[in-house]
Amino acid sequence: MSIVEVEHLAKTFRSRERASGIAESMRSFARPRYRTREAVKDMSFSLEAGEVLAFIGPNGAGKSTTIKMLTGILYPTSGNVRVLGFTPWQQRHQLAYQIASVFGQKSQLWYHLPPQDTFNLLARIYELDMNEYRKRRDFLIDVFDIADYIRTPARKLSLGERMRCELAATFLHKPRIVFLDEPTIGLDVIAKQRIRDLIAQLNVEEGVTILLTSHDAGDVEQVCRRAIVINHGEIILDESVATLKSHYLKAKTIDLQLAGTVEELLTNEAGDQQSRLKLQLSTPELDREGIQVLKAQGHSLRLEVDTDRCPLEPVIASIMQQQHILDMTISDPPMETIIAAIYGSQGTVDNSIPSPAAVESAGLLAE
Amino acid sequence: MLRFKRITAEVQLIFAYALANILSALEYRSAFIVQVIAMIANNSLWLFFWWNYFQQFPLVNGWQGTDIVILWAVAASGFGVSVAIFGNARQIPTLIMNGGLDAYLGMPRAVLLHVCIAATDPSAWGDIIFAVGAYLLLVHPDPLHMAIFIMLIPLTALIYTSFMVLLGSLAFFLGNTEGFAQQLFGALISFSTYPMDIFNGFVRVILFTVLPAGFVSFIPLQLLHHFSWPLLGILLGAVAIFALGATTLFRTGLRRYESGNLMGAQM
Repeated sequence: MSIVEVEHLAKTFRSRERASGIAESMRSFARPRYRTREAVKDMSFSLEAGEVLAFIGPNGAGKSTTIKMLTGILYPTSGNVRVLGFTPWQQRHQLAYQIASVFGQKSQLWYHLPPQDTFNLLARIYELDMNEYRKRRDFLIDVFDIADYIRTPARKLSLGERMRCELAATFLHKPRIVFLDEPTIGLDVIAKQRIRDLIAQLNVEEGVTILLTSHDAGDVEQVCRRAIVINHGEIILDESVATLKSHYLKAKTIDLQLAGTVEELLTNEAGDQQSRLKLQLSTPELDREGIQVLKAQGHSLRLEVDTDRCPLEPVIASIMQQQHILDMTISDPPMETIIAAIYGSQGTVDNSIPSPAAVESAGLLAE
Repeated sequence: MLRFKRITAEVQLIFAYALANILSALEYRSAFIVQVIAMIANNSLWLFFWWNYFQQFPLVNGWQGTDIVILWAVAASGFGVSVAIFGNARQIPTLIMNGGLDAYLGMPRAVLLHVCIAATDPSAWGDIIFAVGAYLLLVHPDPLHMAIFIMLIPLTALIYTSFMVLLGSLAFFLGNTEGFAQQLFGALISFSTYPMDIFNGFVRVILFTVLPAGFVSFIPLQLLHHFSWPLLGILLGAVAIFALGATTLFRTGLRRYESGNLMGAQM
């Protein structure tokens, strides 16, 4: 059963536009020129109870604007939305008891107070029964493992600790839908993983429906089962994450810091400067075509591995057999590259996003 | 019964926020004490000026020294309670411009009330301590007058708050009105601490309409001198009109709210 139904949703903003400089500023003051910008265009989708949906896209794609309309913060220009049977902007008050939202860039914790005090205040805001609230609070403190700093002022917490407290605060009133807007923004790898695990755990244990926006392909890959990709306010893809992974999230970037120089690992089969460098592999059965050398300089090496053609583990094992690795980072492709790849596969061109080839060649070989 | 439950829940929320705001201010104990003392000193200095003035000229247009004390006590207590409980009303233009209303719109409470009670200025406690202290020490009121004084505090506080909300809500329609709102609110405070009888004609009309200084100074003073039900009715009517006007303007403006993406935290 759909608990979120969005039909032909659109939102247009009007803003004043002017060129830089004092003369333009005076001209704009006397005769302002306005530009309308369609932040969300004719968007339709639905969400089932218990689903974990990723809402992904580059900056300015319309992700946050859509979430704000689904939570009743913004009025749409046109279209219909039903969230848990309510029209958000008309029945915001009733809906707010059953949903929660976390905006990664805006804290709901009181900066000077310990999270414990914010929790007490939230209990009053959501009119929770105080006995029920205490049980729930203790449960969440346990789940999110925040007992050590629940009495420390929020300003003294690390970003990762603060985000765990934010999430615990979000789940206090047992929301049925949680909107997470960039929940892992600015976090380090370990803190990101912790947040992803906790979101997934609460989805499974409490059946809460989650709509998550992120720039980080890792959030999508590890937490969500379905993804909607939007750009310029339009849905360009609505697929399962499994499909998204097999088509667009298959390339991993490996950054290596080696004990020796990169030349010992690379070969130029054609023997000229223009040809691409290839990685020498101690395991001949690996498909070397699935491995691209993006950057090679001194002791630093950056590779892109197509995991469909060449699994990561033997590639790393092969390098380790030839060189001592001092440091290594494995990362997903940036969202812009994924979206460019989606446009590429759909046969459309989006000039605002660099093509995968352009992204690749910009970082290719030694600078 | 349902309405009573609703009012109880809102009062509990006001107390919860007042407590959180006091706890937040007490995190910086020295700064809190300095701000409160500075405000008491500031108000006392003005009162000392007027007290000296009335020592030289005991009667000005029928006004005596104690009238000025009462005027300052009523104005400072109403303003103090307005800022100590509804202090965030002064931030409405900034919140509208920076997308700061998102946090309140996502919660199941009346947005305007929630915005107003969410933050306070600790110096307001200096105003309240000064007002009650000056009234008790310099006017020596009997219990009846003390009761009237206490009754007047929330009414004047509501007029101050409503006026600030009205000015702040203009940001929905006009853009950044922060400076304009502060100037007009400053004018309201100034006019509410001067003897009303020095103003005549058009200015007096202004002071009972667009700049409601008369309702936070002159009428409370009259009620403390000669209590009358019709006068109290006029004051209650003014409170209702300003509160309703502020709520309506804010609610209408909310439809034009465009949110924003500024990073921020609840202080």
